[in-house]
This record gives sequence, structure tokens and C-alpha cells, in this order.
Amino acid sequence: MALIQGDIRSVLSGKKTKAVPLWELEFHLWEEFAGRPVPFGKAFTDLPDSNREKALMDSAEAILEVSDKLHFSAVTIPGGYWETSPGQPAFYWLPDRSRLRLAERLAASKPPQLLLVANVCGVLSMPDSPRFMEFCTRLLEDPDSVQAEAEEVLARGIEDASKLVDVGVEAVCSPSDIADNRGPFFNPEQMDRFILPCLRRWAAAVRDLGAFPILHTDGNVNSYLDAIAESGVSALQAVDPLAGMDIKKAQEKVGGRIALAGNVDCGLLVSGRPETVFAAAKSLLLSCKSGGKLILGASNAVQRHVPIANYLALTEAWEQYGRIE
Amino acid sequence: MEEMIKQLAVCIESGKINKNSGYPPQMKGQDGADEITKQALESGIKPSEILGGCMEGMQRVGERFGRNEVFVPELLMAAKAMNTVMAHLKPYFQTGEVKRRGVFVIGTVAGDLHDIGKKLVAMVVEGNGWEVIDLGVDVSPEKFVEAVGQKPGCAVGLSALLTTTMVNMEKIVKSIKDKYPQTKIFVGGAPVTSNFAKQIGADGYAPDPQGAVQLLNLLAS
Repeated sequence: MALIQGDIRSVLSGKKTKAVPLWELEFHLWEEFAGRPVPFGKAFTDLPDSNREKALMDSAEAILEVSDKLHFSAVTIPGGYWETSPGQPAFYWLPDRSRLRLAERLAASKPPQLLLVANVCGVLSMPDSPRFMEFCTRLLEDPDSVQAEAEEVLARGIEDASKLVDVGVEAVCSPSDIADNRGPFFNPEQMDRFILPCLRRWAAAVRDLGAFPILHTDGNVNSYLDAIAESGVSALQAVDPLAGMDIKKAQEKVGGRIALAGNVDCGLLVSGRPETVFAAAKSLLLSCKSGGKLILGASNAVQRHVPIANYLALTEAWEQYGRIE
Repeated sequence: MEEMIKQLAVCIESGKINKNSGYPPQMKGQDGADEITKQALESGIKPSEILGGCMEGMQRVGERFGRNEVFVPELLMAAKAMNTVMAHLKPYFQTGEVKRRGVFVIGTVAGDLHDIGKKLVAMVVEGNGWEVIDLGVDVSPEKFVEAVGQKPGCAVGLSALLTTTMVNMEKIVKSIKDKYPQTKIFVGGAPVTSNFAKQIGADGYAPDPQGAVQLLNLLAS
């Protein structure tokens, strides 16, 4: 049977598609699959200025080649600078101007069906480690300052999204972790004040830019699925299995109002065997594809530690079971 | 005097640190854990009774956390209020007038630099009457073994946030158990499960700070 790539634009706009689209929140294996250097983060900033433009052009070519090979329906460009833990820069980032340049190049040379996604935070999230104590204290003792911070994140998020949309990005994902394994980090009053109104305003602004708004959050957000589905976002990414989220039940709860993206356990991709990855992806596709609102991918970044064979097992499951009858 | 202890428990449960703190709003301007502890000590209340009142407050907030009635920031404020009391009680711990429930050595395992969950567990466990030795992040098996050697009879907590680093827990458990087989070791962190804990030979898994306290208190009882 011939492969049919999933039409992610249809899924994000609530229309039917003949196959489940494949998209990763962050894919770090470009180099491994392309078989040549694809420098991001420190590897990129270590390059002399004179070599950077060529490196970006070569990276764009490698990304498109690998996306085609793996049947991706969408590609997330590298994020801006951030640290995974204090002093540890993330792997998949580029300086702002280079990021825009890469997006521009990808937009100009990509096949029309491939959607470009950028991660830009527009909604306040749980604080990182250095700010954790301070933020928690301020959240309770000085909520007005948190409100101001939420507004700032929103305004900056929309401004950055606008720049990316101008160069060809078509979907903007706000990586805003609002929950941990137990449930929401914020209490209901804080969710109603700092998170949900900003999420609604951010989603509307991204739509006004002509792009699809997607929310990414780790953790268990079962109690907020309805609010997220009503917020105006096109999709929710992660549906974190580590936090005990059942994507089938989540699909029933959101009832087709938004697409759900994920939720193959990213840990399984790192430490599982190809057959267990295949089984997990197959099971997910068979149980959740029929509604046509599933986007297949890992629950979080596909890290460089992921064995190639494990990722190929995921795409093989998609090839065999990704078609929607 | 009993009233003062009750009031202290309420301050801990509510995260009321001192008179100047604006949280919780309904207790604005009232004395907090700091002032009440000072007054209690001045009025001759035994430090052990003060500690008992605090632990009751921590237990109540922990239970509410378990029922999703309070969230991480509120739990953290309770732990901060508790730490304020602990600062007043420190001299009594040093003289042995007040006894801790035991010693808990905690650290984020080798290769992992995340410390939010570990810090939170440390604060809540300390607030429940344990002496906590926080080894920090990226802690090697050798460092854990050395710490256990320095605190005979301690319990150990291993934290990991990443699927790529939780695998290092097994080596640490083995290193500790090889040298100090009686040591109880508990594990936790986003990707960790009770099955994984069993698989690597740990003595227990705690999904959250209160879970860690419950496991530790079973040892102390």
C-alpha cells in the first residue's frame, strides 16, 4: 500500500485527513539520520562567523532530506537560547537571527505539505531551578508581580511569533509546562488569573498572525483539558504518559475540539528496544487514530541519546498503521 | 501554652512565615511562625513540644497536598515557615535536647543537574523532623557512599528528572548496598516508578515529598 503523508494542516484545522501526521516537538537526530554535521547550539556558535551562513543552508537541506525520509508532516525549527538546567545550554537552539534565517531558508525550499513549527513561549510556565523558590514565594506574596510577568511573557511571545511567521513559520508552539506528574503546578485561582486568560489571548493573537497555536506542557493536565480545548489552541502536545495521562481518555474529553500530539513515551525511545517502541506506537495509532485528531510523535524532545533503530521503529509503526480508513 | 502550639501548627500549615509576610492574605499583620516560636521559647515551652506542633502543621499541609487541595508553592511556603522554626531550634538540636527522627541523605544522581524536586523533598522532610544532608546535584556513587559512611544508620534519597540519568540510580544503589547493606534507599523523580525502584534494588519509591516523609517515618516508628 502506498504511503500517504498525514495532512497536519487539516488535522490542526479540524478537517479530515487520510493518514495520521507525524511531528516531533523537537527532533535532535538530524545529524544521525543525515549522516553529516548539522550544527546547532554550541556546535553552531563555535563556528567562525564566515561559516555560519553556509552551515545554516546545509542544515536546512539536511532537515528537509531527513523529514522526507522519515515522512514528517511538520518540522520544528531550533528554539532560542535556553538552559535545560543551570549552566547547561540546551542542545537544539540557535541565536535569534540565525534561527530566523534558517526558518526563512526552510520555508523557501520545503515541499508545500511540510509545516514549519517554531517553539516560542507565550504563556507563563513553571519556573526553572534558579528562580524556583523566589517565584513560588512571589506567586503567593506578590501576585501582582507575577501578573506583570505573565503579561510580559505574552507580549514578547506574540512579538517573537510575529517575526517567525513573517519568514514562513506556520505553527507556533508555546512550551509552557504548567503541571508536574501529580497535576497542575498552579492552584485554581492562579490558573484562572495567570495562565488561562493568557493562553486564550495568546492563541487568538497567533491565529490573527495566520498561524496555528499549539500548547506544549509536560505533566498531568487532565483537570484542565476542557479549558485548554476551549482556549483557542489548535493542539495540545505531550499528553504526558509519564504523568499518567491516558491519551484515549483525553481524546474523549476534548471531543475533537483540538488535536492531541504525542504521546509515545520519550523515555521509552531512549531506553526501550525497537520492538517495544513499535508496540507502543502501534497501540497508540490503533486506539486513537480513528477520530482523525491525532498527531503522532514522542511525548517530548527526541534526544540525541535515542538509538536510530528505536526511532525507525516508531516510523515503521506509522507506515503500517498510520493510515486512516 | 497549648494554644500557642496550636497557633504555630496553623502558621506552618498556612505558610505564615513571620508578621511581615503578606501570605496568606487572611493572616496579614498577624504573628507568624518566627514570632510565635520566639514567644514559645521565652515562655518556657519545651523545644520538643514546639517541634511537635510544627510537625503536626507539616503533616496537615502534606495531607492536603496529597488530596490536591494545596499545590507546590503553598507546600513550599509551609516548608519555609518550618525552616524558620528550625533556625530557632538549632541550638537545642546541637545540645541533644531535641532529637531528630533520623538522618536523610539526599542528592540528584550523577549526570543530572536538576534540583527542584530534590530541594522540595529535602525541605519537607526536614520540616518533618529529619536532619537532611543535601549532597546537591550530579552526585557520584562514591560521594553517596562517603556520606552514608559519615552518618551511620541514615536513609538515602536518590532523585533524577531524566530518563537518561535515572539509569545511574542502579549503580548508586549497588555501591551503597555493597558497603552498607542495611541502608534504606528511596528513589523519586518524574520518570521513576515503583517498578523501577524494585528493579534496581531500592527500598521504596516516593512520587512526591509527602510520600518520602511517609516512607521515612515508617523507618523511624
